[in-house]
Amino acid sequence: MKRPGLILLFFVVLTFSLAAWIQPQLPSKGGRDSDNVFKVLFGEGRRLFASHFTAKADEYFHGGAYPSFFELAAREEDKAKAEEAGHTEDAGHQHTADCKHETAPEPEHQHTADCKHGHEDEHGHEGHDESNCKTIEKKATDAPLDWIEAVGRNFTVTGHSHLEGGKEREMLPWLKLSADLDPQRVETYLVASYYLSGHLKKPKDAEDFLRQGLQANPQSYEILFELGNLYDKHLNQTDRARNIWLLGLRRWDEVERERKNAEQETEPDNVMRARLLINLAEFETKQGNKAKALEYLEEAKKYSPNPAGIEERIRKIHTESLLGPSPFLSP
Amino acid sequence: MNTLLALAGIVIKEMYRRKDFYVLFVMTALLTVLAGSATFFNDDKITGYLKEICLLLIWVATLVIAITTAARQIPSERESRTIFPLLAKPVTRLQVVIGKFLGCWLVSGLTVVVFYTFFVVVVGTREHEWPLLQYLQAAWLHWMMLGVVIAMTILGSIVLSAPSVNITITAIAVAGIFLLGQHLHKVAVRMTEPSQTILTVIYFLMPHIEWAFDQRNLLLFKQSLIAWPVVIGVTAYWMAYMGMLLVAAWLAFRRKTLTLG
Repeated sequence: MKRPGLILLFFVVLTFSLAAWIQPQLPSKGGRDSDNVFKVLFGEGRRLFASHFTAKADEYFHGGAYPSFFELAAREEDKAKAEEAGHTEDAGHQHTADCKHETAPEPEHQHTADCKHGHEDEHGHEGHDESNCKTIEKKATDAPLDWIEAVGRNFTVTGHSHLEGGKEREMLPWLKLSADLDPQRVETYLVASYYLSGHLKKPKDAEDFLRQGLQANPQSYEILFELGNLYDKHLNQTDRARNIWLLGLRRWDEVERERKNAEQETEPDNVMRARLLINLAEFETKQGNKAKALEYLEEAKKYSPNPAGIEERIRKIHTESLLGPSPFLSP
Repeated sequence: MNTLLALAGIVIKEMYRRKDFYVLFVMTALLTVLAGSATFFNDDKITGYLKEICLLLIWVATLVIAITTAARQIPSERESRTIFPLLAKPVTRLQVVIGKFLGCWLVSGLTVVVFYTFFVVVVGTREHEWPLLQYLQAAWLHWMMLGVVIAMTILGSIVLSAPSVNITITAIAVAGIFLLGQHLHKVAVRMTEPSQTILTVIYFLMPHIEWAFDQRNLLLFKQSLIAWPVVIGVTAYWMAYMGMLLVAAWLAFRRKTLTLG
């Protein structure tokens, strides 16, 4: 073999040996994310695309009418100006973490099987920003700035509607893509599960997706809370739901401990703990363990933004204990 | 008219010979079929994502074909020196500009027809719905919009030094109009002078071809037809831009010195 051929062979052997030597030295990621093709292709940049696909799902939910980047920026600017002027956008209703997840029982209102999460009108649907609805409605009613915009409105969706009657399925590919791109985005799993179980009657698929989310986010008590709800309301596995909520409480404690150790300035997620406790109290009430239910409710009172509502429930349990169940009420 | 049709015919024959169209069509079809074969949460009734991906690929492919075909017409004639026998026929420079434009526009029209037929078949077989008038309106607006892009590219092919520069600049301009066109005035009113006036002037001067691009959403979300007077009005508006850009191209071409050396 001639010299150039030998040199080429030498370099081939060298590069292969180096690659084979370096690969095992790299820290293993436990295999969870390593098989994600998007991570290999886009690196951390994939999270940007994940946000885009979540917004895309929301756009589909609104039937194509969605505020543009510029409208969102203008809204934020106006909001900042209004706050500077000393008042908020909505004097009547301040959005809090409570508004977002209506699958979760509100502290003052326990969801039952009859509710079927039908609280869109009151609180906004899962994972959906109500302020987007307002921006879309404002855009549709505002007079166009010029004739070009007036003509342009003929080519865009301006009517504000929400998907219903099974059409919510159109959002799912974007949510799946979003979860693949950013597996640590917990909200994606919660939103998808909400529509899969509540609207599309596919609780098994919702369970699989939540489990996938839990694998990527083992500390997420939000996913555990949602998984518990799924077992309780859609899969009729109440005991399993209870265990999942208890695990959720443990995860909440761990996260809170880590937060304290890291001396982070963020607020603890008290509302989610209250929701977990209320769900457990509801379970124990149904099982007839009123003492345990009261214990959970007493603790929930400390975390809930509406302790008066919980106090009312505690009083109700006490009254029922004294009087016994009404013979006129069906079980 | 015969001269114009003869010139346009050459462009169409060139499209048959070149492989751009076939490659882009096969790629679009392949990617659409691949996307269509994916299932999400065991639900085979989901079609929105497929329509979105297919339409996006169609838009990219048709724009690539229109811009690259139009950008190389006059420069290649000059490079191969066939422009001299062409102008000696006698064919006026105005006829060359219009003939080339017509050829490219017809090529784009054929492309739009083929791609939209594919789209209609794919979506129709999945959704079992055939809103043909909507598709016709979308294809028409798409083709008219491509006319403006082609006229813009032909002007660029005379003014700019090389086809590559022209292709890049036109592609950036078209993407800019698609993304920002509708919002420029709203952004301008929030700015201070002189940026406000500059942006407003640009907004009113540029051809608003983004309307056709935005119209995709009406197809995706199954909205009702656009009123025909609006479609006719917009067609006339875009045709006015085509005329204006072609006259500018002719004026620039008339001043262009063509040398053998």
